[in-house]
Amino acid sequence: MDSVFSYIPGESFLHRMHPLTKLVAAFAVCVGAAVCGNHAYVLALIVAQLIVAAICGCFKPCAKLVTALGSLALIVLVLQVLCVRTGTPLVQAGWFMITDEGLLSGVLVVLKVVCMVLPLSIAFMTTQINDLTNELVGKWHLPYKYAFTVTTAIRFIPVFMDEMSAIMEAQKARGVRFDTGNVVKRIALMVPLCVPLLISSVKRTDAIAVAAELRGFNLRTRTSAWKKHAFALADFIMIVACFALFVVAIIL
Amino acid sequence: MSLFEKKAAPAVRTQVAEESVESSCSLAGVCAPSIEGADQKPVIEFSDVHFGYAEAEVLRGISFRIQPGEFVAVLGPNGTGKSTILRLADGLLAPASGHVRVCGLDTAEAKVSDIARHVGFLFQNPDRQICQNTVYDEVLFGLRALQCGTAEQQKARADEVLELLHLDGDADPFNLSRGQRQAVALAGLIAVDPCVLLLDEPTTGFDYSECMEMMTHIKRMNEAGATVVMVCHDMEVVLDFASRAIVLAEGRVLLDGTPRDVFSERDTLQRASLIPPQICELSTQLAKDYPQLGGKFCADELASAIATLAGGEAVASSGETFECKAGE
Amino acid sequence: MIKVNNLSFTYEHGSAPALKDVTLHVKKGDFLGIIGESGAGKTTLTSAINGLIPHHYHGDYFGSVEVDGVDTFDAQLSDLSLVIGTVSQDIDSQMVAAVVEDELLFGLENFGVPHDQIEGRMLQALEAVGIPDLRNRRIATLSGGQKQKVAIAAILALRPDVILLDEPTGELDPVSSRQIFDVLRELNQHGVTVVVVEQKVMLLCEYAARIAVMDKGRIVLEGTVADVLRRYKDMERIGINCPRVATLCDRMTERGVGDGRVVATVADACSYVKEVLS
Repeated sequence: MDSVFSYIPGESFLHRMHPLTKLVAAFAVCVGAAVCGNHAYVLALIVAQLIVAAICGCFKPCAKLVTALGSLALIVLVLQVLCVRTGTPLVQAGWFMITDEGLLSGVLVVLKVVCMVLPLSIAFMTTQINDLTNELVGKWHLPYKYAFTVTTAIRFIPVFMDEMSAIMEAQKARGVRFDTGNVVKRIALMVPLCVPLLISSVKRTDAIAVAAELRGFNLRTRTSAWKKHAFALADFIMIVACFALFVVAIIL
Repeated sequence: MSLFEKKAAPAVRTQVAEESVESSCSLAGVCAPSIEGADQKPVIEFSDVHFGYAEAEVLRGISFRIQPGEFVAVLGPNGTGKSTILRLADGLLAPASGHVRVCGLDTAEAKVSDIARHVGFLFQNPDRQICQNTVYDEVLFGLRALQCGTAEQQKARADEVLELLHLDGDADPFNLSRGQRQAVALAGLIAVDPCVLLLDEPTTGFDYSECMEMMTHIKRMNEAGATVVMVCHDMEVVLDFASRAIVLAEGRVLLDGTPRDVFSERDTLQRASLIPPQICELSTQLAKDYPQLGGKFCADELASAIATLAGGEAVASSGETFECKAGE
Repeated sequence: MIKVNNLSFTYEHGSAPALKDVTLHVKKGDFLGIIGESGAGKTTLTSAINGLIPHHYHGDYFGSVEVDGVDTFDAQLSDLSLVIGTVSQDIDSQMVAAVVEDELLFGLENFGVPHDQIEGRMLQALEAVGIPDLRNRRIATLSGGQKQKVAIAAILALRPDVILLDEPTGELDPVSSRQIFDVLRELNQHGVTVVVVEQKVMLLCEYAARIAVMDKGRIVLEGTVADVLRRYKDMERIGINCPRVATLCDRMTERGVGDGRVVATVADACSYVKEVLS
């Protein structure tokens, strides 16, 4: 099972770009979307990102991510629409009121959420996590231990997701009713499952530590990495472009 | 033990079903409706089942019927859909086309929790199943999840199962060895007295005595009337315990018959990258030069044939029959 | 190469000793299989050999372990792991990377292998286990057998003198298991000392040169495959399954046929029986 952070092999321009460029660019777009108040611009950013994703061969998981976020965003939208009470009322019945301002701000929040999640996912989908850590350690002098911890955690997300679904399956086969309605009841049923997951995680952690130790983990230095990534013209253009997008977002 | 003594052999299942209805534990005989008229009605029926994950089609038209009381081994290389078959049979997966019926239920329509009343599923890794702090609670957990009987009955049943598998109810399952944890997981399953047991490589990674202990428990369940379907890589275990072997390759059923028949099809087995048990293999190879040595499946049998042929002090007379014992 | 002398070890929080007075010598170029029931101390013994005991796991330690002439107590764990490459039991935990190539790089980079040698070493390691075509594959898309080979290649790239494996075929089907042992045999023929903990006695009988049988923290039998097989009744008493052709040999001897020899593989048994009958 893949998570939204799983690398998708490819040869596109983003794949070849320097890992740090992608990280910086992703943050620029992310923050840009966060501060922007213009619906059309945020929407345009989303469309542009989906096009980039399509070029890089990771449209499918991105589209899946957007639809998954969509259902979550819908709840936010409803809440936002119901809570904002300023502006011109469009519909009104007792305390229930929908205003134009509420509707607009609700839509904006939804668009922003989607626009902020996409850049990092695209960056991760086109970057091998090891390259990223090596560059973070090499260029930005991040301590390797922290970098390794973070990458291992990210790498194990799908592993634990698999483990969790296997546990759910095992419990379902025993007749635990995850398929019956009531959310509270379902969560109550999930709690005992955390025990096996926890046990296997703790066991894993020790095994990972031992295996890394035996392969010289603590000997690693900043210059250990073999693969070298050079900044190219494309990286420069990418960073400038993304900062331009960021500036435009602030102006709008 | 009482629950199991009652069910002497598969042959008397119909009677068993009637009897168990009035037993103290309301769980027994849950499968009764599907068992009436016993031998004609299969417990598990796959008809032209297709199934695939994402793009790859794993099963391409699988059909078979399993009768009550059978002990079926599903064999084949990794990735041919052996585990998929078990998941389909438990309703954890639904077929893309075709039908899967278990104990009279269509798995595509029935809820997994309803199927779980009739079908126990033992996974390769017991740690995914075990989630309680004591072995006793673990056994009770399944009974409670399925809301079987009163609290009193549940406790009585848990005690019974613990005694049957020689388990200590107060032990912490996480302090036990892996083999014992698997036995705990099995105890949790058989507590609800399923009429079908699905086993996904129940002994992989076990040492020999753990493996034998596990298989003995399973065999006992089978003799008490449960139908067993087991995915297994150990051909000798299959030869010793199973009454029928289904060999899969490339999403289809390649061979289906008694283990002895199946293991004699050496060339076909190779297509499923399976290696027959040592004695079978040896017997087949020797048969090229000495036809009398062909078709032997256990060491005693083959040794006697060799002795007779060599004209030595043949202990065995020609009419002697051999029973290959488990673990020999 | 490896000398374990009268080693006894009890884990820090353990009540009973995991190893009791274990003595085991492994020569350079040996292919040793360790077998025993679970809980017999096999994994503990491997930890003592690769230095995890006493450097990672602590406890009461009596006796000594020498690797390549150096006492593991005095050596650094990282120096030891250059001599003894360890492939751990849980393969998913050993994997640190998303792509096969990076998995091999991890150890090479850590041990500071000069960067101009890295490419050559990677190629050689991948070829040694027969998976040069997997170099750019994602590890998540590999089968269990392929993952095991990647793990072995990652260790081989470090060019250890000894490769130590803990149940490498535990989760594999029979065909993949044999492939892994084919790889090990190939390595052994190229001078790598192999020490492997394995549950499947038939594989050991076929591939290993020597077998050590463990029971309750002790080594109870040790010798060449033929030596150990001759005492197969002892093995059965300990709870270790013997190859069925060994049982056949015994049954033949009982019936007064043959010369009392015990063999373990189908091929050997076939020629033995033919010899008896001709």
